[in-house]
Amino acid sequence: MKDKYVTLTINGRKTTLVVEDRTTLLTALREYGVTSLKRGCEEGECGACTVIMNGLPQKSCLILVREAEGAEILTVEGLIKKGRLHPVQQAFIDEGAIQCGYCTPGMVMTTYALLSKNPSPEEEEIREALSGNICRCTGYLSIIRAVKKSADILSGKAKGGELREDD
Amino acid sequence: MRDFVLERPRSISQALEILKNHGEKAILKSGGTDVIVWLHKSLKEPDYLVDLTAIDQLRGIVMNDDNVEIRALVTLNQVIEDNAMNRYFPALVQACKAHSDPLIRNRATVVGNICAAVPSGDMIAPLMCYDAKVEIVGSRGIRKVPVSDFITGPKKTSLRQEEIVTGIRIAIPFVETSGCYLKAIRREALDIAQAAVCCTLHKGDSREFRIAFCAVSPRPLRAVEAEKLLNSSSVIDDSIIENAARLAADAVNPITDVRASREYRIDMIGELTKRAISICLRGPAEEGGPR
Repeated sequence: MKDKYVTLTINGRKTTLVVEDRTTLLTALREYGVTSLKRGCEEGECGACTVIMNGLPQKSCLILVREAEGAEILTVEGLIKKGRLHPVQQAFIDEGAIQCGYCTPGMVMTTYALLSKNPSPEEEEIREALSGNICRCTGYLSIIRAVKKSADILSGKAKGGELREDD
Repeated sequence: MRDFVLERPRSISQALEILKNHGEKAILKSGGTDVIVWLHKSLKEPDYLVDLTAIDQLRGIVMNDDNVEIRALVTLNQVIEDNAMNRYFPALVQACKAHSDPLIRNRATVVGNICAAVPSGDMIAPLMCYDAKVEIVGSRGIRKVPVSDFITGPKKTSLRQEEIVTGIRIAIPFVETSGCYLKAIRREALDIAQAAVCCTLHKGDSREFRIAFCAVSPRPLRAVEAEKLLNSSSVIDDSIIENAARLAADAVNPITDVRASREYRIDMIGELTKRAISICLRGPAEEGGPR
């Protein structure tokens, strides 16, 4: 029975949702229309449902939405500013770090959180940070390239959105 | 997921009141990285879920004069990022790093790991080595239980109905210390230990080794005989380490399951114990890391 209210900030907009006690943050966000995050395994293994909650990347299938009362939630929808993709999103496209796309929103959010904390990570740190996000298509190499490129764009070492020479 | 009533008490006393009212129909959760999976899979079907995450009294790593308190809502990443924990309890920090993945570690709690009480729980062996006490509050007051007595079997603890674990307390070692947690796993993240060894070394007036295991016994276990040998030997050479590793392997009683066979686990305990002793001898700066 949906009879509980929870107020949280989703991508900068304060929102009140009507939920059940058992509703997970994943389900609540998707029903609200934030469908970038994906329902993968629902047991915290795959990372497809990753969101940033109060500054920390977390798996939304393991959180009840009522625990997010008052929380700030960020998803890839919130990274887009004035119709322009965020450099992390653009880098994933440029590096071909997407095949089926199912893991991508989670990968992007984990990358965003990593680079917010550590603007120029070593490859080992990138692999460690992404170890909770599973991709079954790319073999990860293009994703790691995309994270490095994101870091370069954000630190001003490279331009965002440009095509690679071999494209 | 079957429906339930979610209770979000704001204080420990409110939580105790709720537990008293609902008895066996209620279960507790902190980080929820185990409990919510159990609910998804219908392994538990409580009428009431008591979520402790809104209780501010349960937050924080608190340094006191001679001990540190890891309160019930402290996540593994908070331990990893804490300077004092790195300085005094390196083996616990390494065990936190060996657990699951960086995203889950933002929610999973140290206390939750011992309350789940699965033999493969990564927090158990380091807390055994550091001789941690579990602090429990109930309607009859506070009690303190060593980790070794708190976990009474696989998924079983001595926590009673109407009680809550508020935290874990560990004495601060005021001597030079080193420690490591070595975990045999098939992949570097999101994997449950096939076997693991925790070793700590306090270098005070007398040198004291402690060794404990993960995933090789139904209850928490220290390598008492191996520790005795190491602590009574004036010089620790390769043959002493070899003998200590053999005593450690003799002490465990693992099962065969999907992750590893009994024989493999016993072999790994010997090997990991050898490596762990050497790492601790090399000093505090040494990073052990998983495998």
